[in-house]
Amino acid sequence: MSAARHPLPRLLAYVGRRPGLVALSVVTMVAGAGVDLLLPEIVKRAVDGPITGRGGGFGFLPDGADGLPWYALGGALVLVLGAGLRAARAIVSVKAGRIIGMILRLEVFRHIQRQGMRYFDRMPVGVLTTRVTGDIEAVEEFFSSGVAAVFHDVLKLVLILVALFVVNAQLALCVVAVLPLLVVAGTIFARRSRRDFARVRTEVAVSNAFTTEAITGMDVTRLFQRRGHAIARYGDHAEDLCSAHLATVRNFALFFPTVQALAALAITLVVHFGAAGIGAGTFSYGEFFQFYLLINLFFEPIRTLAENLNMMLRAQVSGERLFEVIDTPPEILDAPDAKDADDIRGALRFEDVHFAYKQGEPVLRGVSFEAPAGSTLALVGPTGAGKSSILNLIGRFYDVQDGRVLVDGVDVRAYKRRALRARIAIVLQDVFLFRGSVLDNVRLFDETITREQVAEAMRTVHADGILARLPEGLDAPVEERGANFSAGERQLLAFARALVHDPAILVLDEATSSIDTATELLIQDALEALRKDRTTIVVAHRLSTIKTADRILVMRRGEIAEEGTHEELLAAGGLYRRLYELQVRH
Amino acid sequence: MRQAYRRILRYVPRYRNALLLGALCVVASRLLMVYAPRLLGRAVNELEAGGAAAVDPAIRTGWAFLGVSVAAGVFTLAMRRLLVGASRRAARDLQTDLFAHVERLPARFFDTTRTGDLLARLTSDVEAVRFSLGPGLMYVASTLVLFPTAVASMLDLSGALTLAALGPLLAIIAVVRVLGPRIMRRTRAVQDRGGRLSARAQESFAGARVVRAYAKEPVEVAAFEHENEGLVEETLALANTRAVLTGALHVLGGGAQIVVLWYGGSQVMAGALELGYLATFMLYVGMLIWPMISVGWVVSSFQRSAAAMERIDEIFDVAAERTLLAEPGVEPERVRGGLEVRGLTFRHGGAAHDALHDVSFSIDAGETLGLVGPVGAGKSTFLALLTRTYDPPAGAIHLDGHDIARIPVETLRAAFAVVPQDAFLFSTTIERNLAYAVDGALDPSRARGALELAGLSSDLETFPKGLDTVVGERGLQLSGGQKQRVTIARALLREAPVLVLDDCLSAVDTHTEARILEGLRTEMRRRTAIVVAHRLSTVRHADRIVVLDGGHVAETGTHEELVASGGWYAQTYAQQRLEAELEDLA
Repeated sequence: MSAARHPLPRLLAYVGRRPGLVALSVVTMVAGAGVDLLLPEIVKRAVDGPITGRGGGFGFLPDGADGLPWYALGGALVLVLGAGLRAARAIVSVKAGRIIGMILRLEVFRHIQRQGMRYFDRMPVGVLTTRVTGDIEAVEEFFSSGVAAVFHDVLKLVLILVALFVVNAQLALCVVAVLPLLVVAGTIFARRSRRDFARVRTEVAVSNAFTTEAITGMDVTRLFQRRGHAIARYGDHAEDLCSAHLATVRNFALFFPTVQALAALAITLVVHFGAAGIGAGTFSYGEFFQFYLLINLFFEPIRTLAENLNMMLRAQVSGERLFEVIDTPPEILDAPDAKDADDIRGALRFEDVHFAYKQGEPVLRGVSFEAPAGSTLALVGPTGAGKSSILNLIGRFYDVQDGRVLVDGVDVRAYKRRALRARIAIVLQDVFLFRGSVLDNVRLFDETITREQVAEAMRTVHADGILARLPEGLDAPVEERGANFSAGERQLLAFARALVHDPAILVLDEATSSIDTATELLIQDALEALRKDRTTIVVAHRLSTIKTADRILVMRRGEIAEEGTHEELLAAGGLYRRLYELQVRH
Repeated sequence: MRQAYRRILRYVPRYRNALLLGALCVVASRLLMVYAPRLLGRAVNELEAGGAAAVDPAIRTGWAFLGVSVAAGVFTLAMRRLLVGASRRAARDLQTDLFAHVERLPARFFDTTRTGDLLARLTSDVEAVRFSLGPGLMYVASTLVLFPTAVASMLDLSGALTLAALGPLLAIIAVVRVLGPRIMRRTRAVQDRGGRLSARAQESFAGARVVRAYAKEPVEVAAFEHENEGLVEETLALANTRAVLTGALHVLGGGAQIVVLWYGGSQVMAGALELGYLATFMLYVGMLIWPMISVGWVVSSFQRSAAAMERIDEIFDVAAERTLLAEPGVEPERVRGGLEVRGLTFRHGGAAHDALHDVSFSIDAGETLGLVGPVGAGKSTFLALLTRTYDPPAGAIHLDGHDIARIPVETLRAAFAVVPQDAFLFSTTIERNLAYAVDGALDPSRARGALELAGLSSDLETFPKGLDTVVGERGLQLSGGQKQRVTIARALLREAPVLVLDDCLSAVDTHTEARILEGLRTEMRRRTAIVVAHRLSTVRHADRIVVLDGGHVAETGTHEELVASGGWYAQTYAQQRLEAELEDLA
């Protein structure tokens, strides 16, 4: 909890994952900042030595015209060294940031994958996606630009100030005198730009949301003839966004010339107080050149410092969110001695099962039934009777509050969750298709399942008819949420998906919506093939499915109202018989 | 390229003043910038020449340097505010015009265009154009003034030194021209990889249930890890190229200064150059580095923005929806709603089969038509043709005896109040959603009446702010049934002779549906009504029911006739009775 509230130290701890890289980045930084100070020193020596002939050059170099090329050569060497260090720093700091980001991103993603369905019920997809994209990026920036850059900038400022004082303490005070103005300007700029950028971000989000909605809702706008209204509102959003941008334009337009002017002020002060010194011999021309160059260097990091500080703030917010994800423990964990489920045959038993999604709102109240391996059990009943909950408990998407769910006589909680699920196939009414190919969707990106197996499964469930209209066949693209496939086709693909995984238990929520007559027949037939030799639990909506089941459970308000075969239930003359007669009479 | 920007030229006149003043500021600020280093050089020269007596004049010259620098800063500030500001405003205008055009495009266009792509045209493409024409042109103009004047000033001081110093500076252009495009390519590659990673994560979270059901978490983690590593690899490649550029710029920029130190220094020693002007040269060299970088870089940005402008133009070039056909005279005085469909055949662009084939039926004004059939039977296509969301073939659909293809589209649509199938609401208050149906202000008592009829009044009382409750992502999440009822109320508020209900009660239970239909009956008797439904009980009171199957009319008649005939309608009705009975158990 406290770690989530103070994320920076915890983020910094990730430095430990790649200590070599981070150390290297610190070394290149310190060395680079040091080397940058050499060039002004060489210029000073050249001016005071060979150029003005006042004897201020390096002692080991000739003072006349012969000496000057050596100074130039020295300068060139320093430049190349400086360039190398800059390049190295750029590469190493980015690398450190990205690699740490990569580690953290995988950690977060893996952790999310360990979560059960309750977690996904609670967290919107967009939020989770932002965690592994935008939030990680903020952390990467924190390492590659934020911390490193702030450290580098501050180090450089300190080194330059020290150098100024070493050269001429009195005149160094001229720069120190400008410093408070610079701090004020920098603070105002940073505060404004944080505010302005936040405003721009908000306006961008609002206007993009509006635009997306306006485009998706175009039909409504057209039918209600509200075009003018939509255009006017877009205009308002564009105006708001524009004025937010204009605020940042004003802020930046002011800041950079201000920094320039302050640099000119520092130089002017040096001239003002140094002029007499040059006459008196306490300040040299070379030192003047050096001051000028150092002041230029001094003002360079100031511009980026404000920006980099903002980056650290952003990383703090993102770090908080990331650690919140990592610190949320999965609700369902495997027992330490959990069993494999490779050999299960699929006998299913519910023993006095009680279950609720929310405390105090029970959906299953003491449900007991048995489905022998290879049999078909049909669940019948109104919405909210608890049929879907039974399906959810079989795959152990949720744990029961009381009672037991047994597969092959063993409590499902005693199995390794993934091993158990690998033996169960679930086909829901609303078939989820992934963006990718038909092949990807049937084998769920699992390349241990071959193309041939997929093709075979498609044939068995009559899904090969879909391929006939797709020139790319199994490699045909599937759009987001399978938008380019009809409801019937999605059902058949889901059947192929289930079959190719060869489950011991098939869990099926039969579609309620009516599909065209031809596809309907295909689906019935495919279901027949799919059910063969498997335990099948089906929430049934079609009489044909119900009649062929080995056993029928009529559910009502979380309890089993009637149970038996079709004939038994008809003979019993209860609810089921009434429903059946109603159906047949028409 | 010039062709691509033609459309932009029309935005120039309205910002003429800002652009002219901005141009003046460019000239003034750059001239002052070029003048300032000469003053600083002169101050040094005065000291050098005059000894102790020259201290005061040198100091005065120093302050003049500050004055000129500050004045240059003020003009720079004004330049940025005027020119960048104008570019922001012009971008806003372009966005608004583009959006207004998109609003007028036909439904066909949106079938084949992704919302995300349109959003990109309106945001990132407009931004690319703005950037190159605003700040980009500003940098070009600034360079065009700064470079010749600075070079002229340098030539005035020393021709030979100028030529020597320009060498490394001009090399900067070449380096940026070579590395710039490479960096841009790599940046795009990084963005692509980032997009892929984000999509992968999003799909994995959206399909969390399937992933868990088939125990594919390890497959998901492996796929994500692969994307993660690919992204980092791509990012590091970009960092390497950037590092090379950074190093090269450091060497070339510093190299120019070394040349000045060496060659200029020897000129000073030879008496051909005054010492102060050596400093002036160093300032000039520093001043010209950025314009050299920007030249290479602005050229690339122009290439990018020309491509963006072309994409924007492609949208502008799509013809707006046809509002009139050849005979504008056909305009019913007052639409009553009599409908006749004769041999209607329609195929969607690119489809292999007719969506509707030889469909004929008719209803009199004031009657209620029920339209039913399996998913994909062509019901929604028919409604889209009726409201000319798609253009129907001439002569196939007649409203009060007029071919609707010849009725002006605004007149035609004014005749319909539609409740669309997907209950689309805008993310704003309920009141504003309702106001969408009326011109001018919404009469609160009428609104309450419509909500009452739609069966939403009691729900409304539980909403935190009543009619002012914001719905959607950032507000109250309405249930599917509540959304549908708001859209019904919205349609009821529209005074139109034909009411169209497109399967708009699917998300409410049968009893609520029956109650709402009962309430709507008076409304439906007042107007012609077309009711599309999946649940057959919705249409059982219709004057005539048309059953569509696979684009054909399969059955027509009243409820009683169709139930007696024993076809699809009868079967489906029996099936749904069973479900309804089951629901009654709950």
